[in-house]
Amino acid sequence: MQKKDNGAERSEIRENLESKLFLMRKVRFIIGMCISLWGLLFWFFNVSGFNPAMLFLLVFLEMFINQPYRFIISRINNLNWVLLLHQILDVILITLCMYYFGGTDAYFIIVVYSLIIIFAGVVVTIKSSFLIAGLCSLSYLIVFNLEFFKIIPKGHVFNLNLNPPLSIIMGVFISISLFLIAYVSSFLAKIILKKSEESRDAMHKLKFAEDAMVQAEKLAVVGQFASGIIHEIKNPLGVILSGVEYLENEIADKPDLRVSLEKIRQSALNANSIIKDVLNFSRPNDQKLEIIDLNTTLNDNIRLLKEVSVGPNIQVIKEFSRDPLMVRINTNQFEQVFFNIFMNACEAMPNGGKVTIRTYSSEYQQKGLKSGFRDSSCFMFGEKISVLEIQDEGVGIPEENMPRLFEPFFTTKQNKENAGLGLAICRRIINAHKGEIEIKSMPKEGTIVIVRLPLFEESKRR
Amino acid sequence: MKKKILMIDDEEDFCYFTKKNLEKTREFDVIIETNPEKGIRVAAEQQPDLVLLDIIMPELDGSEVAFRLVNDARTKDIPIIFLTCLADEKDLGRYDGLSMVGGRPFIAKPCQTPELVRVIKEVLERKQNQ
Repeated sequence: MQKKDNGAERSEIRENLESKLFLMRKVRFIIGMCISLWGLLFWFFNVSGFNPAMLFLLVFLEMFINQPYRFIISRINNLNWVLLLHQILDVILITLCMYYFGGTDAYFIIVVYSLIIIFAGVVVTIKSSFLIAGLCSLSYLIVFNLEFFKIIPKGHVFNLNLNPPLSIIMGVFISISLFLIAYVSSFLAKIILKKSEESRDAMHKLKFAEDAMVQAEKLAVVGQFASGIIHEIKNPLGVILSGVEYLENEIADKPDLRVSLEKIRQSALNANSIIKDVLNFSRPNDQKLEIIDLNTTLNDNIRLLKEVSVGPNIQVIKEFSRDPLMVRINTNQFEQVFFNIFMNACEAMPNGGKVTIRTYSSEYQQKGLKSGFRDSSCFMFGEKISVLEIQDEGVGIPEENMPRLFEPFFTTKQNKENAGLGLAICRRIINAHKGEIEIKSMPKEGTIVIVRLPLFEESKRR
Repeated sequence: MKKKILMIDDEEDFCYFTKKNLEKTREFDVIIETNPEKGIRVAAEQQPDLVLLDIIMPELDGSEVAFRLVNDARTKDIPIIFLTCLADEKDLGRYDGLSMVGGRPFIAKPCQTPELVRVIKEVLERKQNQ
């Protein structure tokens, strides 16, 4: 596993470097086009002293470097050196252009130097921008000193002799150049924005991971002690219940004592129910998965619940998808989830009301992560999912309780059998099925619980 | 004729009431042993018709007791019903009316006497039919 992780990491780093190299290639192409246009313009207007051969040689060199990228990259292991070499070549080419267009008098070249320095900092690394700035300064100083000490002739300053048509064309051309610079800048701005978003997402993920770790630690404590505690509590419960059973037979003629015994029995059964929830919550997930139609399973469950648990004032409305919704789940666990959510919906309406159960397929749309009352999910944006919504017309959930809904042992219910583990168990089961659960609620308007599960497609069957 | 049941469980109070409730049906005589080692000896000596065996016990757990009973020629044919706190009925697979794990009948504690009686009778009947 370690080797695979390192291999995957190296592959990711290499992909990253390759994308940077191709980006540099694009930018270099744009700069080359700009310079070529200048050259064409000078040539067209027969600017005195202009030697097109020299200019186009420079442009050719610049384009030539771009061509063998794929060949080079596929054969070289250490792309960091390739990246560095390209930046150095850029500096040399731009310095040669500077010299050709007027040497140290060609002040426009500061703009081009600035571009490649900013580019290095944003695309490559912060250190690269300082390295390139250093190289640019050094190159400029070398040309300056060579000119000053007359080791090389001074760079040619072209006398443009601007007349109205030429000046208009020059103006248009300068505008085009500026738009090209804007294009490159927007490119860089997008990269900065993307990095900023990634950084924000990373912060969210980190926060969520920290919250999850805290929860996991709580759960680990529960799990660790659960078996021992359950055993230690269930045994005395067994004594109480079997003792009550025995005494009931002995006091058949004393109805008031029977009432008291019944109360003892009921309390013991409530405690047993809570212990069952804790046991259920603490045990590892058994994932015997089946491919089922969600609508069919829900129909069966609703029928059963209506017969057994739901009061006469609860009206169940089904709005199922027309097509089957195939999902790969552990049926028993899913039934447990549905039961918990459905019973919560019914209990939220003590005087009766409508529970709407809705199913449909969709493409996952939610971006980013939210903490509190929605889980993070394993879904990719646009992934096909099946959605189950259970909506009630109850009193709703107060805003301050929303972030705690999935917290183990958190409950606002008054009945003593409730350990506050229902939604925590639901979340655990849904997460184990690579799904997510979300709760939306408005006080006095009701609550909607949304369960999203991966949609099983035949093409994905292995 | 009453059936003889040996109950091996370290929880003395649970054994006390279970014995009372089973004997009240007038169908069973119940022997209690809270010490599993002694329980194995009593099983060999008394030859009960059935053993009710707790799983989690401090000195020797139920699975080890069962192993010894099954591997002793004197007790290998005595049917065993396991008692467990660490599961409930829903978790134990049901086969033909009995909760079974690994081919052995289980009862989840706490259990009601009518259910316990039903399971005991079912196991004894199957044993007789073998």
